[in-house]
Amino acid sequence: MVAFAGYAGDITTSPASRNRVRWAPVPMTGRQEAEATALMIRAQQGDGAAYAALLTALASSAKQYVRNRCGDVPWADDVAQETLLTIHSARRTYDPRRPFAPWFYAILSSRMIDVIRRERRVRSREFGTDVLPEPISPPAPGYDRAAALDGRQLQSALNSLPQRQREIVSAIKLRDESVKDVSERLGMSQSAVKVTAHRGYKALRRLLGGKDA
Amino acid sequence: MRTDDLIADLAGRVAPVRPLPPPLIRAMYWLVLAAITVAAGVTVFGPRADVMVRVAQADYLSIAVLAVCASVFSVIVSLTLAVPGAERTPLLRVTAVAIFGIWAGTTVWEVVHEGRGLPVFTDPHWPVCFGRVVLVALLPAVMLFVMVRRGTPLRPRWTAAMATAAAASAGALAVHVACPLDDPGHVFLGHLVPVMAMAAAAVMVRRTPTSTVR
Repeated sequence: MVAFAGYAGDITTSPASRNRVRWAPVPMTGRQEAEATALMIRAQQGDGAAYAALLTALASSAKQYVRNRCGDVPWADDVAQETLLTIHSARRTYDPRRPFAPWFYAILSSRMIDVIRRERRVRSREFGTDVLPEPISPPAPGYDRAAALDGRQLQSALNSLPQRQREIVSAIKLRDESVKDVSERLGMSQSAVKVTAHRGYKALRRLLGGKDA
Repeated sequence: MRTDDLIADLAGRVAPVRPLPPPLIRAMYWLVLAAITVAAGVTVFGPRADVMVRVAQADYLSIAVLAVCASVFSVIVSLTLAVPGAERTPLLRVTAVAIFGIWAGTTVWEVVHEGRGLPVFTDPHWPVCFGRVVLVALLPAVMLFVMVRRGTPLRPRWTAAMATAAAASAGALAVHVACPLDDPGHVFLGHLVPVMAMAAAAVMVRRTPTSTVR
């Protein structure tokens, strides 16, 4: 078994560009390089056992690499798995005459940057909650959603919308009609219905005291 | 999925693969194909009547040399970027971009020096040359994208831009040999703009044809 955990690259975040991550690989030792190369050559020839041994070592190395640079993050496994998948699809690009480390760490750092970006995107759009919200059951027949909310305030805000916006917002949000049905009933394109509804939501948000996105 | 399960799955369906030849060798293959396409394009369009005279003049020859260099460097860059870790230094990429910069700078300087501006509406021939550049570039571009997709470009936008620029430069070279017009404005609009436009389009496409990596 090859143990790669000790010779991952050095990754730093440039203060000038916070989103860019630079890394400088520390070369593998000669023995580790030779073992990895030998396993990869056998993997390129279709040897499943050698491939499994190589991937196991590389997965461990990838997780260690992430932990060394980012701490005990929950997405270390994601980076390792993404790296393994890319190695699988890229294995023909490895030239046995070239060193293994630059090839592997180029893939690993690229996948890690992708996962970091994805995590940032997710974190910017989601928020954690200790208590899961109650599941929403479908409304019973005859249920008036507008009345169940703060009826007067919502009705007042709805009434202040232009007639077409009011009709579309009410149909989609209060009567659960589909965009397609609304567009057919009002003789508008589906895009126009969506745009009008979006404008209506923005106006409602403003009228009800929320942030105007 | 657990990592161990993933490893078992990948190892279970591993098939023999033949390693790709080095990027320089693959670039040579492509350059041979591009040269044939350029020759075919010149044959179809017909070389300009005074090509043997003009080829001895520095202004004409320099643009041809720049187009050849741009194509050669760009194809090497794009095929190098398709191999993870093969690009040890960005010097090659910088050189390719610098060649395009010199090409564009030279052409723009000539337009400015001429002082007549760009004949966007007065020259009816530049759209023809524009189309010819794209036409000649089409086959080399498709071939290069096929070659790039056999690799694993970790920088898909750069790879796509360089691959497109390499093919478009080959197209521009064919048109440079065939087109009898030397007006700087025409050369800019009909010969250079299509190269830049194709490369820019490749950068702007959200999912580039080189995005083989998930």
